[in-house]
Amino acid sequence: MTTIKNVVLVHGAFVDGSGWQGVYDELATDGFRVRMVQNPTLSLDGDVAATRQVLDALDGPAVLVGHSYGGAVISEAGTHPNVAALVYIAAFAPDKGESVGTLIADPPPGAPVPPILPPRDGFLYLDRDKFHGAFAADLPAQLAAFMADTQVPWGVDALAGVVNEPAWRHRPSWYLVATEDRMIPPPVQRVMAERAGSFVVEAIGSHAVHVSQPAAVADLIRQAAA
Amino acid sequence: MVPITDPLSFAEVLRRHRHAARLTLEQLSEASGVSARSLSNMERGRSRGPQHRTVTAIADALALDESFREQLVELARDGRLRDHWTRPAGLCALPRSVGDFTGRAAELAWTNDLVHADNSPGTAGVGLLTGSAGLGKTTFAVRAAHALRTDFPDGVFFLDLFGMSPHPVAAGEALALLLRALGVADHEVPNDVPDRASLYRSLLEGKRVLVVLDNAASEEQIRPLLPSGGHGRVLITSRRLLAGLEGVRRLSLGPLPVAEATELLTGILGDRSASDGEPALTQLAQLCGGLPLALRIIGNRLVSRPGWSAAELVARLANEERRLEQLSAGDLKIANAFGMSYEQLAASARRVFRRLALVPGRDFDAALAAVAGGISVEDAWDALDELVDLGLLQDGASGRYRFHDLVRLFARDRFREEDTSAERDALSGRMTSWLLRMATTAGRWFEPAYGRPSRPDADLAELSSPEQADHWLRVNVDNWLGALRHAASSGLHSAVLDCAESMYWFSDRWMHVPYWQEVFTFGAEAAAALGDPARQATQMNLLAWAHLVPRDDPETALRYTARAIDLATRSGATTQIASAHHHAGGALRRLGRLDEAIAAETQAAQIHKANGDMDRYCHCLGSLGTCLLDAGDHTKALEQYLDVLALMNDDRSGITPSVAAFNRPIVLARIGECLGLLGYLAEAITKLTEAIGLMEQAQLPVPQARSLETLAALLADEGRTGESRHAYARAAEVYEAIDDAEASSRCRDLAAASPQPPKAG
Repeated sequence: MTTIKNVVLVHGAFVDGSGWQGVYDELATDGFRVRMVQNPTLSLDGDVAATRQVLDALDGPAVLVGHSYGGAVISEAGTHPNVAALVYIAAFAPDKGESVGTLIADPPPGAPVPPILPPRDGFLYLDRDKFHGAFAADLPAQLAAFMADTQVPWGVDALAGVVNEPAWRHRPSWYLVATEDRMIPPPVQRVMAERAGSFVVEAIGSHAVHVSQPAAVADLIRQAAA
Repeated sequence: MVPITDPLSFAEVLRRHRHAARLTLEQLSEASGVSARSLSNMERGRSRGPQHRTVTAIADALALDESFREQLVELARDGRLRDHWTRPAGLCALPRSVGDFTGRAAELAWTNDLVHADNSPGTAGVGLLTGSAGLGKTTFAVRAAHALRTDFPDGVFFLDLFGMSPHPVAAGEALALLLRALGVADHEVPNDVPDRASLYRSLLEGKRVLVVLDNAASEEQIRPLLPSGGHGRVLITSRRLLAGLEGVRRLSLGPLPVAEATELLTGILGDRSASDGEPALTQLAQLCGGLPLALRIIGNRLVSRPGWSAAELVARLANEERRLEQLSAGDLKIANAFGMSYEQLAASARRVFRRLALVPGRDFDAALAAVAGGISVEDAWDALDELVDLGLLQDGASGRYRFHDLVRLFARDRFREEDTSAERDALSGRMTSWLLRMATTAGRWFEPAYGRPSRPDADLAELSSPEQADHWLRVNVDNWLGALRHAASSGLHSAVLDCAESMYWFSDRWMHVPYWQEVFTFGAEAAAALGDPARQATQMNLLAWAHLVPRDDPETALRYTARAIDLATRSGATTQIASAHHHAGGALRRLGRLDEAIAAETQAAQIHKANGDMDRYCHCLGSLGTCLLDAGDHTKALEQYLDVLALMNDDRSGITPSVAAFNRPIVLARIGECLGLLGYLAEAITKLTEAIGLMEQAQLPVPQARSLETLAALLADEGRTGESRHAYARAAEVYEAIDDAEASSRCRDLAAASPQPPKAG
């Protein structure tokens, strides 16, 4: 098997692609060509289209990586012929007919409730005051505050977007479970990973594990590319 | 002050100095920065070998002059060594956990969950801790294992697999070590890897044990070491994800968060952390990337070189980081941390440090460090103390030292950078030569023709008893084997062959290790290259032995004896022809081809007799008896043994008295066995009793245990129940002493059995 040289990173809700910097640095040092999708998170369809556009432009196979809601995007976009492997980072991995909305509708008892505020003009926001604890508890307070204040509004259509043909049924997948995640409960992550038949690695980290533990994320991507 | 000249203990000397200085424990504690409790432990002899750095702090506080200071330092060093020697070297024992372990609460909870999780299908209770070098994977695994101790009443074991070394521990070797640790006797360890693995699995299934497999190399290495369900749990550390392993839970270990990293640094710095101030320490922790290894080295650097403040070090490190920003983040932080300590060393210590990267094995002692540095052993001790203080070396058991993998890479880098290629080659040659000559000299201690080597080279370390030679060969095996490999690939045939030949007798003392095939193959190749078929035949015979005795592979042994006969015949080396027949006899007997075996042993005996080599002649007659016993010809076997005994008892037979003394009880026992089998019970009991008494005197526990068991069965057959029980009980004791747990419990059961013990045999 030839080693894959392309990596495409898809960010999740409330953030943009800049959160990938640590992962990007690790992989670029190793000689990977890393592309980030700046998906607008207005609708699942729109984000899938943005991802396919990046995939179209590649000269060879890629590892397609999604964080959080980005997992739904790669599950739909990952059937693209240039995708050789999928990597989920504390991410949703919906099955056929599921959306992120249906996956979070029935949280396990006792799981922390993400501080998502009621929709405003079709957009969702995280409570700024609870952002640090809920989304990025293992990051310095200053960085968490910056992330809270630069958060990208999440379109309700993105939340409702249904996956038609989950790519993890057709591609090998890897999954990084963040054990201290207070946005997507770790047991839910494990169940989705198991359902997808993913190779699982765990890391002690918050939902922002791609920012706090770039080395762990990069290790898993390297493995998927091997 | 009264001069202290008597050989005194560290405790006594310290107390005298403190009294002479009119200091209380508290005052000395304040002046030295060493806690009053630690000082009190030292003065009461509870801590006999404090660390070098502690001792120098105390010496400073006492304002000792140079000679007193040296005395104190040396006594502490002796104490450290003695601690190492007397510490029970449990097999695969879990190392101590570091005292200042910091943070990792969530990770500890994870391992706790792992071992307590239901053993559902697909998860066999195996956890893998993965992450890059310097993250503290081993330190964490050791800590976690200590925390879990009470959950594993049958034991917690630890095995370093040397995954990053050029010669990681092979799965079969790892299994043998673990089986030994789990209570399996050397000779009960199966020869094949699959057999070892299944025995290991069955043991793990029934026992509540935790096995820590540190620094794993590959899936192939680890797979046979995993449990297949049941109570046993395994914790693996590896730099790799080992994606090919199934049923394993994986945790990617991250760097320490800033707060915990700062806390660790503060703990290492102790009292001086206050003067450095938290902001500087936080910055330093960040510059170390939260990597515990870098934090330790930087911390030790600050403690042992108090001249620099943390703030200055922050500035230096930040500057280095800018200069070298093309390197990947983790490696850079570590290399910088090492660099800060390295440049603090005196030029001579720096030279020792970087040249130690050339040591082929996994650890080394001061004598080898002296060879590396081209300095005296005393100077090497000083350099090693300093390197340990700075965290650049770790001191392990029995005065041996080792690198962390990353530090070794750093040292190798420095070695390539700072020594010319001519210097590097010269050192490599010196080290190879020294190791080979040490091994050869040590091996010759066991050669009857050499005995104590009379004039070993002056530059070699002193070996003054067979015990020391034996110890040196065992603990340095990867060093001298590495040197042998290097010499073989460099065409140093003569040195290679000398070394292989010197292992002739020693290999018999240490037969259950996997090295002999390689050693004697090198020997055979060297002899071939030198065009010496006689010496090549000797090596072929040794290869036959290596396959026959420790490996139980008689087919391969026969191929080697055929080659040996061919080579020895060509060169007229009759002794080797006879030895080859003798080994072939053993192999044929093992294969059940008894007629051929008897013919081969007979031929061997005749040649030895014709050569006048009565020792070997006798030995072959004994083997002949064993073949006859196997063939069920008890009468002929008895005749054979009686002939041997007569020869041994005849002063003029030409047998070396020590050889006769050694073999007499064994032959007597065999005579007893034959008599028993022929139905002469009373005579058999008399002979065996005599043999057992002689074995007790000569300390031959292996044949003694077997003879006791035979005797017990004969006594039972004679209806002498009480004596029989007593003999079984004694047999159980001796078996236990030679670590044969299975035989021991068999005999214990028989000793406790009804008044009508079952017939044995």
